[in-house]
Amino acid sequence: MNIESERIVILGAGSAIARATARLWAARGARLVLVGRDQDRLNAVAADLVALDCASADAGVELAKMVETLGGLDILLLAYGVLGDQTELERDPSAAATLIQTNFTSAAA
Amino acid sequence: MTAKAASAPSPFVERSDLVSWGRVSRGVQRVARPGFRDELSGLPSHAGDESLLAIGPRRSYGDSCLNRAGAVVDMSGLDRFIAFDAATGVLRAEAGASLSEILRLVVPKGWFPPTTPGTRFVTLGGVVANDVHGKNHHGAGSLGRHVRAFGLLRSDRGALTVTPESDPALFASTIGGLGLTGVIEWVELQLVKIGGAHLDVEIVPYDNLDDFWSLADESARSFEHTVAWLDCAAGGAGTGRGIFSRANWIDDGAYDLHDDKSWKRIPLEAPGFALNRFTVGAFNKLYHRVNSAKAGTHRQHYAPFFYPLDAVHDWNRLYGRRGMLQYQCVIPRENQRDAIAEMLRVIAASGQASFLAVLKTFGDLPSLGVLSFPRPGATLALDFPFRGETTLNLLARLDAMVREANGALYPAKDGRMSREMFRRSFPRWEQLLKDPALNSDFWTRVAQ
Ligand SMILES: Cc1cc2nc3c(=O)[nH]c(=O)nc-3n(C[C@H](O)[C@H](O)[C@H](O)COP(=O)(O)OP(=O)(O)OC[C@H]3O[C@@H](n4cnc5c(N)ncnc54)[C@H](O)[C@@H]3O)c2cc1C
Repeated sequence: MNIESERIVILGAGSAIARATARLWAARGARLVLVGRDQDRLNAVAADLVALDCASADAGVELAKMVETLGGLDILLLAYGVLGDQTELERDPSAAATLIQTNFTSAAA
Repeated sequence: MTAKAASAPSPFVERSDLVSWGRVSRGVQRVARPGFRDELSGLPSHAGDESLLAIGPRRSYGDSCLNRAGAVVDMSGLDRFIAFDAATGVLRAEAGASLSEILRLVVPKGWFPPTTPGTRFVTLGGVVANDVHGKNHHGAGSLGRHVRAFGLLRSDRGALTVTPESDPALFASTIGGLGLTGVIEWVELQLVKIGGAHLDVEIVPYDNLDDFWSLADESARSFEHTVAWLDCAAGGAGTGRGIFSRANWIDDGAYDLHDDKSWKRIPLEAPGFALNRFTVGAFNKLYHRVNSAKAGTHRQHYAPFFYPLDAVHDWNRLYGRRGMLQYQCVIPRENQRDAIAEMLRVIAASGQASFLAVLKTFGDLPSLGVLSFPRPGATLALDFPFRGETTLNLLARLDAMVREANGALYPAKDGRMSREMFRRSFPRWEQLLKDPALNSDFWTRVAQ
């Protein structure tokens, strides 16, 4: 894959898998936007990528601004997910619904 | 324990496969592996009354990177770069960043760590906590001299930024402080400029210890890096014979990187007999021949020059399930010639000659740490396949010689030195500003 100058948004950028992938992409010159819940952690991830020369790694830009920032979008990596408590999920349908929404539909919402 | 900590699942898991590089000490170890710095402050409440110890990838050979009576915090997930200024060579990174990753970042921009141990699979936290030395000790001193600042998390004082000026005592305690003065969160290091990724390496085979001392003296003046590999099976007039290697960086602008992927792997722990006297002797002779053939000057990349053993992943498994003990001492300059000659004679006669023996002279630049190992003189390092009492008895004989010569043993390589030996090696040990919540198996053994 020729990742150079690809425009990439990573959702759940604090996760280990996202981090490893982002480092690979950053090292090859991709332009990244990182999205996640914890701003401090995103800043740490972004500083790491900036040191690796990916000068355009922005942490936590508003979703609406992302495409504008990048001027388009080539790849979206969905790298977050929540593991629920199995027994609770089996007992409580609304907990299951919330989990499914977080894991499968929130990025599209 | 806080209510939150009690209800959240514990970040600590029990592992029985966590060993140090020598693979001798075995047992269950509780481990947490945080992924972000903000997780560190919550760990003590999960550990309850247990002591903690921050560790790296355990390239220390003995028990200074283990804490079986308590728990350890594996820092390898905290390995992000924080800032790097390619104009000044100042690098700040989280303490779990490995030298291997750092080299990938800085070499192409013309920088190199100010000094480096013989493996790149170590972390910033680990090299600071042992105040490591390299082949350029005679010109650069040990690593702590190049540390500009570090972040330290203490149970009694919270998160601190420590520089040599801001808190000289805590700085000197933490450099070489064996991880006992707090969790090092990040380190800021001054790198050195290089003009390329290769060195001009000159290999000089020599026949005896006298030749070694002359080569070492003469080379320290004109070569940035010096070290010798010894054939410790050689006794009599050939005692100490070996290969002297000395090198300077080449300014040719070729900044190619090392490769961490094409390892030769040692698939399983080799059977115990793989390294008996015969095979080690044969290996040593072969090595001498091979390197004599290469005598003279040649261009070499930094990876085979500084990290020859890194080419064979998990080479420590060659010593079989019982593992190995490493022995590294430093002998003050005034006693170095006699003491090293005597030690080498005893080692050769014992027939337990090791796979690797390295001899290197240390220069005069003072080490900054209260427990720093390097001091003016010469350091000898050898591996011994662990054979129980026989090995321990031999090492006890070597201890006596080191003690007699006012030398010291290196904690990074040790899993068995006595309290007395420790206290003599580090007469200022009681000045260590230890964090009361931290401990290690090593510390329990030598200081408590
Ligand atoms: C092949 C080989 C060659 C070597 N060559 C040399 C050499 O030439 N010169 C030399 O000086 N050493 C050498 N060593 C030893 C090695 O450099 C040290 O043992 C080093 O400290 C290992 O670093 P590590 O990251 O693996 O840390 P570990 O071995 O896991 O831990 C070492 C110490 O650092 C502490 N520590 C680790 N991280 C932190 C942190 N974040 N905060 C606080 N404390 C921490 C630990 O508590 C422990 O006391 C060599 C080792 C090997 C295996």
